[in-house]
Amino acid sequence: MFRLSDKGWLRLAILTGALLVITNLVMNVGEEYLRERFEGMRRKAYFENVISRKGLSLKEARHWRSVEDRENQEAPVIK
Amino acid sequence: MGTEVQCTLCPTECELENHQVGGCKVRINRDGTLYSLVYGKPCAVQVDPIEKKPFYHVLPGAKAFSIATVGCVLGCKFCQNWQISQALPEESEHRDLDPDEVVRGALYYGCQTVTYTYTEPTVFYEYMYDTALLVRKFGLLNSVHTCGYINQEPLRELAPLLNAADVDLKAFTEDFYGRICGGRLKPVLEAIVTLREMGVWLEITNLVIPTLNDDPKEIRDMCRWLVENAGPDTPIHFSRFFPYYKLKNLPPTPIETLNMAQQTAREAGLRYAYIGNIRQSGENTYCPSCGKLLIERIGYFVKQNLLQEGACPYCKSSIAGVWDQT
Amino acid sequence: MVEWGVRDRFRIAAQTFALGCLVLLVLFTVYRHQSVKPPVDEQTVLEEIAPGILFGPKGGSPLHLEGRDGSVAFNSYDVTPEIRGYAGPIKVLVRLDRDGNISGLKILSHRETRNYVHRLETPEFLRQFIGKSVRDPFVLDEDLDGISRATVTVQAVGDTLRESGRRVARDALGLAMPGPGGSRQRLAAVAAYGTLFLAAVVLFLLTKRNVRLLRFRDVSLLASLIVVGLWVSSPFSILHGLNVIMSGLPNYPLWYVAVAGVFLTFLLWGRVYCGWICPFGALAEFLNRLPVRKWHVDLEFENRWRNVKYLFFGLAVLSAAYSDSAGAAGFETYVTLFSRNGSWIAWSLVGFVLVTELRVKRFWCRYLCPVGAMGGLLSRNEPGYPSRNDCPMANPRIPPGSECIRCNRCRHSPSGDTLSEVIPDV
Repeated sequence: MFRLSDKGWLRLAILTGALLVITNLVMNVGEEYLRERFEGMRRKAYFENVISRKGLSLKEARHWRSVEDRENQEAPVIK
Repeated sequence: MGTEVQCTLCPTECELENHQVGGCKVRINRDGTLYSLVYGKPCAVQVDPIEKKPFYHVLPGAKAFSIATVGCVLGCKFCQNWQISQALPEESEHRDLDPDEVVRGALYYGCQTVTYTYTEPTVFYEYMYDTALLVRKFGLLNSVHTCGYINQEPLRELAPLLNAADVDLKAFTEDFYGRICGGRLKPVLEAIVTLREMGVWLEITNLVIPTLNDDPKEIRDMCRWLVENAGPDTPIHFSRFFPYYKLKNLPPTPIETLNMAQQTAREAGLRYAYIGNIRQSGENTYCPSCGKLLIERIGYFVKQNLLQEGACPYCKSSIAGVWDQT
Repeated sequence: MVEWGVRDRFRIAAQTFALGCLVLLVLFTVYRHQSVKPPVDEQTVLEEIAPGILFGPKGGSPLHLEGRDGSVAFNSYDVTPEIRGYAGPIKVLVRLDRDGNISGLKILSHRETRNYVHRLETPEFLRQFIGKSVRDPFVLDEDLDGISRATVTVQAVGDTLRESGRRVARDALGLAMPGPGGSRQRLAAVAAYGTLFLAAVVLFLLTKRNVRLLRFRDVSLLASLIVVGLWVSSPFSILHGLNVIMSGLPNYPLWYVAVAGVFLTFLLWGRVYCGWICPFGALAEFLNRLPVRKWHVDLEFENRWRNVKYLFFGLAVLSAAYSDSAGAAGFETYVTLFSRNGSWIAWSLVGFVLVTELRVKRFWCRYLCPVGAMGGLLSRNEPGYPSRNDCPMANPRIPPGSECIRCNRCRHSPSGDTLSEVIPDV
């Protein structure tokens, strides 16, 4: 066990408390951002550990017009 | 980041973050590129009579080499195939069957057509497209049983390869599509119009569900729309509902309801209205001119086919359909 | 004997920072409300769901608008921003009649996949909620019609309506609602809280002169712990203060007892709340008395580190200003503990602080508490509080008014010179 003076211990306690307080505030403010990061990591892990091990094909999918094009185009009229 | 991808295959148009899988469960965005997870990985491969698809005006009695992968663009609460349509590809068993092997299989088993069916073939578009090209090359027909929930571009690209399409028109209200299927009606109607315009033989299937879409007025509106937009020669199959998946609380469709639907369709001007999923005379084809029996079916099997070169042998009037393999 | 510098530069800097943050918050709030005018779109929608009914300005806690006919309207996002659908919160403008039934609603915005949930915004779907009581359970496929492929979203709408509706019905309409916090905030609770607050303040004033009454301070602390902490679950929080700045005065009675009272005592007599009413302070003080050796530090250490709480108060205020939501400032241990609701990180803070209280007298109050900081900003220096060796805050001689919790112990025996924890540097 390492030895600290009382002052050292208290300083450590305050800093730990401070760290927890700041983490709390960061979580409050950046919750949405952090959640997205976390979700992204979870999806990536799922892809790498589950999906890509199942022997499924990764065939490049086709892509058609972009959405903006469509908005300029008129949809066929259906009665 | 900039790795989001918008899938434009079906009208759901999922916006996918990196490594996110679409609502169909089989298309994934990986680092900004969209991939299909089920190319060449069917979960169901079977040889069925074509009547089972159901196609009643396409090569009666033909064998159809039928393939499907997991996944679906909709989420109908009454799905009869939900074990595969709502399954995840990574959690399901599949076979490895490339497009050329599909054609080889179809030829080996003496099938005249390859049918993309069971789940929603839209989700395995790339697989279907490549297979359809080869199928054409070997002189077989391409047929598809679809819910029609597909965007116009991919449909217009695919349609020239298709010989026949059976579209599930599940109801004729946006409310039903929204609440029960998780989709919209309008794109389905657009798909029906497009398929007809592009010369694909069209049949319509309508699953009649007690209380949900069995209103005679709704059925009449739907049939009138079909007469006008798909043509009076479009066969319609009223299919009997059995309680499945998330709609176990409803009874099977009464036979009277199906008869009413068939009658309504005929009155609205549809020449070929059938009743499916139930064994009775509603499965037979009668000549719309002279009313004589032309094709007699029991279950999915053709008992007798009296058609001669696509025409009624009695009154010689021509019957719409795909009657030969050219 | 060196006294604690009343005009210490560290403290002045820290307090200035905290005040600066408050000023920033005020400016931010004024700017936001002037430039964006958020209620405009809500006003149009309000006209749609409640045609012809006049509504007052948006205000109160939770934020809502009061209609002339006794109904109230609110944006669910102002009340329950934490409830999420598949991709984010679903913001619904809801109107409740005076009995807590939904009499109109419209979805203002959401981030769900549009083509899954297009049906969500249709009148056919929303019709099912009209006339529904917010007391109902809102459970999918039971009293809530689902949409295929959008079950998460639909349940989130149900949760949003139930939770925000109940909160508004309880706090703005004064109705009794089931669920957590249900009947507790009603009249009995307000009365108990008010009585306790008054009794504690009277006892404080009496003990300024009468030493013999001081023995009842523990009774008062225990009562606060039970009533304010465990029963009413409503310790004073900086969120109360920030809400005043960000959204104006609320209109439910507990607020005036809990918040206005605390502000008043801070201004008149300093941190009396901390020393006599705060349930967390009471808990800390009881824990401090356990026979565990305390750590000893010197005056210089105290002089520096006690100002940390002002920095956190300032940071919390900035978080609120940045997010335009008082909730973003929340990290307070007493809120987590007594509302029994918080993230795991908030609970770790509670656990860590409570354990540390064994070794350090009023650890949270001395170094970290934002309410303590707020009280400190408002406290005057008052003569007659020289501190003594059993000071519950372990204050050295002649503490500044902002560090004294007015327990009145040292007023009567200012003789104790040997300080137990903080050694004055000589």
